[in-house]
Amino acid sequence: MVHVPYRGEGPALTDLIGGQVQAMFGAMPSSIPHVRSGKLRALAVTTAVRSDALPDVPAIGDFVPGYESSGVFGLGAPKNTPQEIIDKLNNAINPAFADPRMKARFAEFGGTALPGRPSDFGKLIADETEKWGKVVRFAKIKLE
Amino acid sequence: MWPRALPRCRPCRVSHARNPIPRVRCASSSALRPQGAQDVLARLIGQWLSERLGQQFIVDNRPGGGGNIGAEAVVNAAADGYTLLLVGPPNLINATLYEKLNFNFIRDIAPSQDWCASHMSWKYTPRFQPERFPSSYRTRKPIPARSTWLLPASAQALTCPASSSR
Repeated sequence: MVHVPYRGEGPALTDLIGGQVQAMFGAMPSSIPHVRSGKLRALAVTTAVRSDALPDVPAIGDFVPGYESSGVFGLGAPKNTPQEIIDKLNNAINPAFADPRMKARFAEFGGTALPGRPSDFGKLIADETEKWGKVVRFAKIKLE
Repeated sequence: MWPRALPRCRPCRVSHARNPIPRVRCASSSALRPQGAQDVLARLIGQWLSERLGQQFIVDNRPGGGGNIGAEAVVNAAADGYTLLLVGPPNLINATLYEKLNFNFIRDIAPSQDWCASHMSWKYTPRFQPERFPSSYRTRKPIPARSTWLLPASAQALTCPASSSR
């Protein structure tokens, strides 16, 4: 296998669909439409368990014990943003998870909603940064 | 898009002190290129916030540097809630992967909201030949840590197709 870095997921998907490359780790929000339309075939999901969005697709953890890699997304603001503004944004976004239209969109994308407070996201950022830091150091990953 | 968005923000900034968020009209910055997962999610949440807050959110893609250019743009933006960053996996990985960054992600970005944990899927074109996988994958043995094709940890975690060597 040869690792082919791309400048973005969009062009990478274009090449994958066009057959210039043969396999890819991609995020589900941008990939699922192509999987559902038959342009791409899903081999596996990288979460610990199968995804509700692709229930027939195995998790890599099914055959590589302990493997888990989820992409977490959220909103951040520059440091020193007043707490009042942060809280207002947080309060504006949380109801999205109860909104049927938004829930349907998240489900389409294969996402799992994570409503919570800003501090919850802060902890998640710290935990994920530490986790990937370990991976980068252990595998001695260097930029190409 | 960015330069055009700024003049529109100015009238809003005048009233900022009185009524910060309902007047917000701003750019959320997705650090990756259009069509990527972050772009898709930025547009989805941007539309939601536009409707909730009565101000239009503009998705401003700042591609390049593995997501660092977009992140740095937000780090250096005014801390007034007008500019937000769509945080994604590259931001968290780059904190270690890049030895010299002009910012410290954990120190310089304030978390506002996490809303979506997305699975990454591994997919292939119909032409793909699974028998070309490393044998350790096929036999369900642990993947060697140095096996470079299994690399969701790179800065291009969301963007790196692997092509089978022939």
